Amino acid sequence: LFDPTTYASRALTIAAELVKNDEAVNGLDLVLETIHDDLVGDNNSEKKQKKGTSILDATTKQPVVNDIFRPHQLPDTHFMRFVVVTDERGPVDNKLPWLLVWESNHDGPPVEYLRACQTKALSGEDGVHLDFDRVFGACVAYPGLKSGERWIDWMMDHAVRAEAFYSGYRGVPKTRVDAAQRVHAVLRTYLDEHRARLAKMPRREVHAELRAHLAERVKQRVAHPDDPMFFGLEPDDLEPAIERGLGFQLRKFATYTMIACAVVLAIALLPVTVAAIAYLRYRETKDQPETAVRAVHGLPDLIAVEDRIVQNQLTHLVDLKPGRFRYVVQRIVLLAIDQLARVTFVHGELGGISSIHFARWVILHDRREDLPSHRRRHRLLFFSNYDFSWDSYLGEFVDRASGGLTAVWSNTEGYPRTKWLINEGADDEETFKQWARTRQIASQVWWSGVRYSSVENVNNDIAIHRGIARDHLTPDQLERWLLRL
Amino acid sequence: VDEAKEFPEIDPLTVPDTLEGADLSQIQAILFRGWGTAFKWSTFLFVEVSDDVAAARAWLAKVRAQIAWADNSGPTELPTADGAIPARLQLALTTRGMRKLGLDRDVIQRFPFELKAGMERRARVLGDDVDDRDTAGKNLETLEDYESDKPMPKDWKDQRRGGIDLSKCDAMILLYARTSAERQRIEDAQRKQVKDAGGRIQTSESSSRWMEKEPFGFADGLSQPRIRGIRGKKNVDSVPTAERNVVSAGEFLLGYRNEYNKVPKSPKFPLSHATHPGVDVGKNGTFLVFRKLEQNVLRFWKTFAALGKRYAGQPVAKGHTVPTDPHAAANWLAARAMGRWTNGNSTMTCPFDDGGERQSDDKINDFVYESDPDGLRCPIGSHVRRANPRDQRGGPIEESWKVVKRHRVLRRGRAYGRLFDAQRLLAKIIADDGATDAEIAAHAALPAQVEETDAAPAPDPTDETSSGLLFICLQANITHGFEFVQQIWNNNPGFHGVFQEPDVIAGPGGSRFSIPAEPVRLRLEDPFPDAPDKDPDCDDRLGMPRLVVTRGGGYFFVPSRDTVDLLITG
Repeated sequence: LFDPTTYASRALTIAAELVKNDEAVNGLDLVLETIHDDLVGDNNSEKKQKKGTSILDATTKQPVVNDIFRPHQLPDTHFMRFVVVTDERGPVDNKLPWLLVWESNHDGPPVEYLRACQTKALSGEDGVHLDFDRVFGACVAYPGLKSGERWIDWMMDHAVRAEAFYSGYRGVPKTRVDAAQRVHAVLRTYLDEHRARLAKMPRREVHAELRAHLAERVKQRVAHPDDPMFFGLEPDDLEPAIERGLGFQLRKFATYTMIACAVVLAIALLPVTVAAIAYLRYRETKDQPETAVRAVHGLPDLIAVEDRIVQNQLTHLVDLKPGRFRYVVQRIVLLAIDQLARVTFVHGELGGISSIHFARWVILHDRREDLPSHRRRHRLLFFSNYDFSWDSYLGEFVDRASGGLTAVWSNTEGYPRTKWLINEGADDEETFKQWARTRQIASQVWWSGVRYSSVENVNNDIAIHRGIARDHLTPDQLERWLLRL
Repeated sequence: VDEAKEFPEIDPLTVPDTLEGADLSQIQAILFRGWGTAFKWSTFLFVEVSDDVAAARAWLAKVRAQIAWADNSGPTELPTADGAIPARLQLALTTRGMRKLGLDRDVIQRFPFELKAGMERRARVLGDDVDDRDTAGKNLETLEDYESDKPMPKDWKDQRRGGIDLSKCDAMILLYARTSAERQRIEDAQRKQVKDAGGRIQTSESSSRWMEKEPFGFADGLSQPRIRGIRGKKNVDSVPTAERNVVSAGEFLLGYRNEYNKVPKSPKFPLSHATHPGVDVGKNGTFLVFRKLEQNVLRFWKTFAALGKRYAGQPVAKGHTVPTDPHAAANWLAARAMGRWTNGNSTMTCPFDDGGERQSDDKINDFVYESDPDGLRCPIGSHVRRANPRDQRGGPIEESWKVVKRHRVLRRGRAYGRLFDAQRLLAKIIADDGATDAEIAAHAALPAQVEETDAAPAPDPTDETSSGLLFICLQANITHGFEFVQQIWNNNPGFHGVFQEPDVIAGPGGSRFSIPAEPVRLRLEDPFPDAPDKDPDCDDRLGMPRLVVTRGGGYFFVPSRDTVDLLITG
């Protein structure tokens, strides 16, 4: 809607059923393990190999070589992961089939993105390893990369809509995130070298000199594309991410109007609203929360992959409480979060939490329509790409956003006891964390496109990039801008 | 086991969050005091108890009679070969020790994961350099799983540099004495006591004479939280902001309500247990973190002396520069890295110089970071601001205090090795008169390292032993306390928006350090990138040097009086 920033930052979730064939599934495990080992050990990095931190193959003792799938070669992708969703916690008499899930945070419409992936994978370019076939080969009725449009159709058939999606820098394309990072690095080095002289100059002149230096560097880069001296920048790096404009404001107005209408409707239908709330409260008293006797701790296979770079990941899977009522409440809560994430929480924080790069909630619907509603198992799948440790992230949930969090997960089984949808619940820190850990599932492959930067770092880079692209800043803007460096 | 029935939930509001009216005879005295003024000499013994349960328990029974309790009910003297002398003793145990003392295995399993796993297995969280590829994913189920195959960080293996291995330690005995000679006598008696009971002292660590400074020369121990219900110094408590330093008892002791308004999970016997139904083993106990931190004092002041020369006279704010005198400039930069001047005054209250005298106790902690969101006075990434961000965690100020209180720890560490007069050291370095390291050290080493009443000779100040901190802290939850402060505040390369800069004082080294300034920041780099001790594999050769190296450590449980009794009788 008039707003170009809405095209950037999209959430694609592909969830496809795996064939019931142990050999194929084991093969997939091996494929994902190879990609994982490569990413964790960073085997492509010579320095890591020298330091001996690359992952070795168990039998050959050589660094694992990943010639299958290198996520950094995906076009316009911020973060991605592959997860095999099994159903370990499901009841014995009511198991669901295993799924392979691909979570991708990318830019632009999904179909175009998939087409770009397909084109690149089939380009035959030297060193490109994006073999979707070896990853998705174990899925039911997978058609293969070379089947043209059918591949894209198949992918889109298995795409699950994100009920709520949040980004810490929504609307900023990956190319601009990277460009901002490069620009900041060049300015940083220049400041280090010339600080003594620049510190004696008026702010305006410092800005002008940095601007001139950057322009010169880009010019040299274009003129000498192969000279390593000018690496570190790309030809279009002077172009920063666009800022939100009128289109965004219109959209925001429309969203708030809709929310106001919903509130008016709820008041108009007061008896229904009151009945629904009373029924919710009644159901809460009947819930069976899980009590934790042991103090919180992580399962070894989850801990083993954590705390290696600035970010960590969380994949969390839990059954919705059975029945229609909780399902509807869940959809309403997620819809509200999704709308607020589009227009309100667009400044790098979600309800006070400033450490989330990308997060989404997806409902895996149980399509077995022949079953009675209490036997059907809709599941809530949550993906988060966040800064720092698991404990600090979940701690932020408790410290800052326990109400919102509780509203989301109070509709899922085992959640700590809640009151009026948003109260208590996550306030009980130890029980909440234990609940979250026991429903966390391993992410076989996880890749971050900004492995050195926190959300705050990314947003700071973007602001610096925007500031250097303007030839005039007000004195206040200048002061703030220089402090960002 | 029906866990809900065996361990019924307690309504947290029925549990106190204060120690007012608490039975202090249950709590070990270290929770309240570090005995700095009364007992200036301490030593920590790391004990391996006998495999024979009866012998181990007999040893514990002897120790039990020697523990000092918070209500002063313990003995005021400890035995030596020739008569008792005034001293204090405290006891801490590992899960391995509790297993060997015969505590019910299921109860030990209910201790927190990190206590069972040990500091070695938390290397990635703590930033220790360990090759954990083979052990990280290991399935930890039985107590033996936890105790075996612990990975060992490289720096801890280096025994020549003071590395210690506590992975098979059962107990820690903390001894506090008046003089170094008396310390030796009580230590000898304790060693004999352990040996007589079929045990063994694995290693011991002795402190230097207590003083209010850490080895780099900065005033230490200034900002300690106060436990609710325990009165502090009167003039300090009357400061308007003092309430923000008061923390619920449940943050430091099990069995009390914490800053989440909950009662932390505690290891208990089930209600149906035959001999100890429902007994809470954790109650009135706390967790102790020990960490031996080697500090490279010479490298520290050489680095800042060289940087002082480089940056002297550079503008940092309207009308202000880094001091033009190289000595003052070195102090100015070091104070920015620390967040306090060597005399302890904060750069928040004394932004341009150290303010002369050390401020009084009621003033020295009376500041917040609200007026300095950009770190122009106290850099965001400075050591002190990281270790206690006060009101600076973003969002409303009261909200930030609330969150910070959930991560406070009580520090009880002591310095070890040679101690120096930092200013003499700095002056000698700046004089640049060709003196060798040993000569610089001898010139600046503090004299009188023993009490005058002691018969023992003064240690040779040119002695090559290193110095550092025997870091000790107490908290009811190591994950929320020590580990959080270490990982999310101190070592976090992205702390509050800084970019790839962990703590420059105690962090891993190898990154620059930004000091916000007007019109543009300073960014410190290593003035000696080609020094022989520079890590050849570091990513950034101009990154600041590593100034603190961890040489070992462990996680312990500090039991209450009832729990010690329970361990003795089984």
